[in-house]
Amino acid sequence: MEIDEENFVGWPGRPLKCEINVLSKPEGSSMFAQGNTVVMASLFGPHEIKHGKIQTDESVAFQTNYKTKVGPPSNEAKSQEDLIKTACESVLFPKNFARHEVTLVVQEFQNAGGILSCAINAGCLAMINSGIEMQYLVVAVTACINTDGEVIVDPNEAQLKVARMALDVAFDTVSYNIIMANGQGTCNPKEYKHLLSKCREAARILTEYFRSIVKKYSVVLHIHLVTVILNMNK
Amino acid sequence: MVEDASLLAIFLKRLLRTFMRESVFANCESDFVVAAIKKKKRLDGRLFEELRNIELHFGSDYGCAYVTLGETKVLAQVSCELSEPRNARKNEGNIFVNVEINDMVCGVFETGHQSHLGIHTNRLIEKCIKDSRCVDLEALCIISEEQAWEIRVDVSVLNYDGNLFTCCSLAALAALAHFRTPHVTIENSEIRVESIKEHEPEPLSLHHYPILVAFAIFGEGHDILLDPTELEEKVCESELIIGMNSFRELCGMHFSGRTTGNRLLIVKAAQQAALVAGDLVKLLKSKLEKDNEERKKNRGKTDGLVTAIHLDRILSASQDRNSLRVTMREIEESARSLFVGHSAPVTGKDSDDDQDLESDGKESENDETEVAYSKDKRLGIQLPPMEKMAFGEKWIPSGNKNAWTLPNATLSDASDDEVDYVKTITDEDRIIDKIDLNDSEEEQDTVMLEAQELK
Repeated sequence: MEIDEENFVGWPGRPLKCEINVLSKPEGSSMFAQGNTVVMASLFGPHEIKHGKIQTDESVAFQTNYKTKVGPPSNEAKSQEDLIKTACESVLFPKNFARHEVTLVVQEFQNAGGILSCAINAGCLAMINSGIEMQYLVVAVTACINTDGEVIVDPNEAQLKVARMALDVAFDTVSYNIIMANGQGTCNPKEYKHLLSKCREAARILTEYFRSIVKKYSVVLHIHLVTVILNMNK
Repeated sequence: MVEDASLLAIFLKRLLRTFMRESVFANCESDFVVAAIKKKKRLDGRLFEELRNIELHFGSDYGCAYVTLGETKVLAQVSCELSEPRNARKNEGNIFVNVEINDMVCGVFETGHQSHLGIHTNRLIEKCIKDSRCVDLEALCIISEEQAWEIRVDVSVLNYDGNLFTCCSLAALAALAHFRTPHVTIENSEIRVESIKEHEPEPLSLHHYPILVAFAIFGEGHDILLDPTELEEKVCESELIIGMNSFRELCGMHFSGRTTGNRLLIVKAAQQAALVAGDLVKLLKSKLEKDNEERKKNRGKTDGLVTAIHLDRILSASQDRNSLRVTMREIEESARSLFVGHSAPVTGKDSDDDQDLESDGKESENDETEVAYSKDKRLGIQLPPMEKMAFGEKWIPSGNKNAWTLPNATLSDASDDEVDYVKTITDEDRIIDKIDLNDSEEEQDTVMLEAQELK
């Protein structure tokens, strides 16, 4: 899955790299890189809610824990945590796991711009890996408008710094509706629409990428299983 | 009935383990480990004085290190800020170590407070790095009594499978060795911190490189196991952690548990620790050098932790995460006897070494057919690296037909691919590897016959 930028068909952003099932303790885990931004996500649960936290409503409790590399979490990290939560929470069927909780831990590894969308994508991959029932996938894209009015999808750190407007959007993969959006800067409504449509296009390609990851892992598992069964039949 | 009851108890314990995050080990499981160690065997096939597979990656930020030791994975980041030196030592900076374990990861139900393991690890690393004075604190001072650097090491534990001590201390040390403080200029007793882009930052000065080496002790002090896994740590009689630097100097020790350690035990372990610490420091220095070279080439920039993502490795559903390593042949044979009805007796691996030699010879013959992936004892299943192509269309490991996308793929179809499982390497193989098998041609003939018969 190592992809050169030249050989890269479709995806307009930085090179993607991903490994799933990296950790043994969590139910699902993934390590995801967009360019030099690297994030590790792990999903724990569903497991029983600890004492004192039992909620009155019947739905699953979804917790997100976004950890920066340095020290106690800053306000920015807290707000990012909330955004990741909104994006990833909607994916689950809430009624299926009443009185249970699911915890998504996202660890920042390297931040070179667009860490929010990277974290959401990693979170989604961790959920896929855990095998929890999902309504749809969630894909997130960061895009920005630079001073010349051009749209850059998945910009790097330097491009983000000089951007006039930066937007993180998360889509569902069924109807590509917006689940979460987070913007900084200014732009007019027309530009905003253009930006959104570009993000949506990119999100479709990213979904394909997710599929290919799942496929890649299942191909081997399939071969593995087939050989086991074949050898049994011999 | 008694048997049923004990089986039920085991089942309940396992159930409990899956529902609670805390790892509870069944009595029979721990008995098994102890019995195996009495026979000088470890579940994962390692020798007593063998480390698990270790990996060290540096991030693109200065002072960032990612260390994996088997399944134990840790990320360390060093940061610094200017602050006033302590009153007691006015011309020294300060260093602060913080180990953070998510309660999900090590699975102890203690709300709010840091877990016992976290505090324990934190203190030991403090002992090893801070109290052994490996960082030159005086060099951190900028103006005496006014300003000095305060170094903070944040170690976050991502996954826990025993021996947090070696993993964390290596990560912390690597991060410290990798870290650079921004350049500072003083004009008229006013401090100006230059940005990293404008002025080359300066590395910390380290006097020596201390590393914690953990041992689990079994059999009343007779068996010393290096680098214990979580199960071994839980089962062991006592734990011994030795801080050692590359000059074979002791920098911290901790001993706790049921056995009374004798002098020989400590000396023996310390000698082993010195060797391990030496190796780890060598690894650290070579990685550091590589990172430096790369930064020189690319004007101080690296891809960093992107390289920590392995594209050719698949661990899921492989044997790798089973604590007990059973060979595929053994599973196959027992499964066949179950399915077919007539029971083919499963030959014990240990009982008949000569037979092992023969069968392993056969297996390695089969390996030469086309293989889509290989299996490494330590890394799990390994794919050949992905081909560079447009993703989404044909995303398959090179060298094999994709049976996954075909809707009507049947087993017989797949058999045309002639995919065979790869030899699983057990600890016996290491001995066997040394023996040359190629000169026994008779055995190769029998393999051919057998293969035809089976088809």
